[in-house]
Amino acid sequence: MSDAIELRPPLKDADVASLKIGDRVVIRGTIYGARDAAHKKMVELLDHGQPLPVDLHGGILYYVGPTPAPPGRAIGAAGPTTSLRMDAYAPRMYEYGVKATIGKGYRNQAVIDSLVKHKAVYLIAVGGLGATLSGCIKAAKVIAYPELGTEALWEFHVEDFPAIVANDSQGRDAYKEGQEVWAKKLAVA
Amino acid sequence: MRTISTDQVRQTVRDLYKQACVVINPELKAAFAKAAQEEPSPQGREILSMLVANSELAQRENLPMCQDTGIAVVFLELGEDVRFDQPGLLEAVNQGVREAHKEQYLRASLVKDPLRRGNTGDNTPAMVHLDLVPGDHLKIVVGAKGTGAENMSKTKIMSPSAGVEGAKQFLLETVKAAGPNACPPLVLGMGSAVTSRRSRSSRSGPCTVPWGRRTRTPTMPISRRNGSRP
Repeated sequence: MSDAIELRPPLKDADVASLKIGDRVVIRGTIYGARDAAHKKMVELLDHGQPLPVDLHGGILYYVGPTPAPPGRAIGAAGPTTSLRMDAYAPRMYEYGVKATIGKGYRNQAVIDSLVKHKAVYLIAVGGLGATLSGCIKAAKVIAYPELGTEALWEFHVEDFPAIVANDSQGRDAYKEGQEVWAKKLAVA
Repeated sequence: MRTISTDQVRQTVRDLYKQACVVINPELKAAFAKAAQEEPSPQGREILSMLVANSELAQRENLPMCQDTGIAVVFLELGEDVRFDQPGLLEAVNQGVREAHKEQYLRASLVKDPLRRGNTGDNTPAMVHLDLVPGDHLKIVVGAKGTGAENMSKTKIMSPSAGVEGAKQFLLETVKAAGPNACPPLVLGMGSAVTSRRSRSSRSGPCTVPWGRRTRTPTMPISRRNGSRP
């Protein structure tokens, strides 16, 4: 992925504003892993005006529930989970200041609108690459909610973690546009 | 009558579940490779090749291919002339799942209750489907059912007038709605029966039919271009 754009969190508005759908990115640095259960707890904290377990301003949230680390590894298999699980919470996290989330699959319109409003992006990693993406995670630790097991809030140090921009801060949707393009191409063929 | 060791059931379930998570089925790998050539979109071809490489890496490093090591779905086809040397068939299945979870570092993905939550900690209980058949054999099929795929499942009660066309239409609608939410490529298993409950628990499950082969009573032409775990 020589044409990929490097992202090093924490991200600023300017880092995000120039990203457009279909762009390939590689992420280097610290990102945070969270799924449904951790999101629910974090949104409850925000609703009560309390601080999150970690400062996520400018942060990248990775929707993942990894397998346990076998001996000698930082983490087990660690591919993206289906993002619609987090649609109920994502607008609140973007409003707070999260600049990017990584998952797989469609987002709902409320999430797409919140990306425009709060200048943020939704990235997709390739679903199914559990073993491959595990290799991009060089260090992993649970920083909150250990009782949730795999659904805890994780901190990951990543190197060259590959992703694609699926929804950008202009409100565009790579899935929608891609399907339109290919429906035309295949109809012609 | 034939006597089968309950402990052998435990060992078999354990080994099959570990294998299902780490080792790609050769027919599936061939389907991936074929799709990687036939897919018209360059990005699609690239991603399919990445999935093939991922499966090779997983096997080499003894890691699960996917972090979603699934819900253990265990199909038992039990001959009527079989008896077990010890009681506790279902516990033997669950113990096999438990051991696979621990030994292979699989993910604990099951909660005790959908509303109250609370992880069971060892990926049990297994979803066991038992079919009684004539004979003195026990056939065990284990699938690691990913919940990204399970989320996209659909059940529809159709009126008789819908016919095969209605079933086809429903299948296409379901695939389109699932889109990229479950990991592609997908295995489509379609079961039909008199009651909705029965349609989802038919013998061995349509997703366990080997690639390129048909179910016993196909009513629709099957064209399998792509496929992944059930």
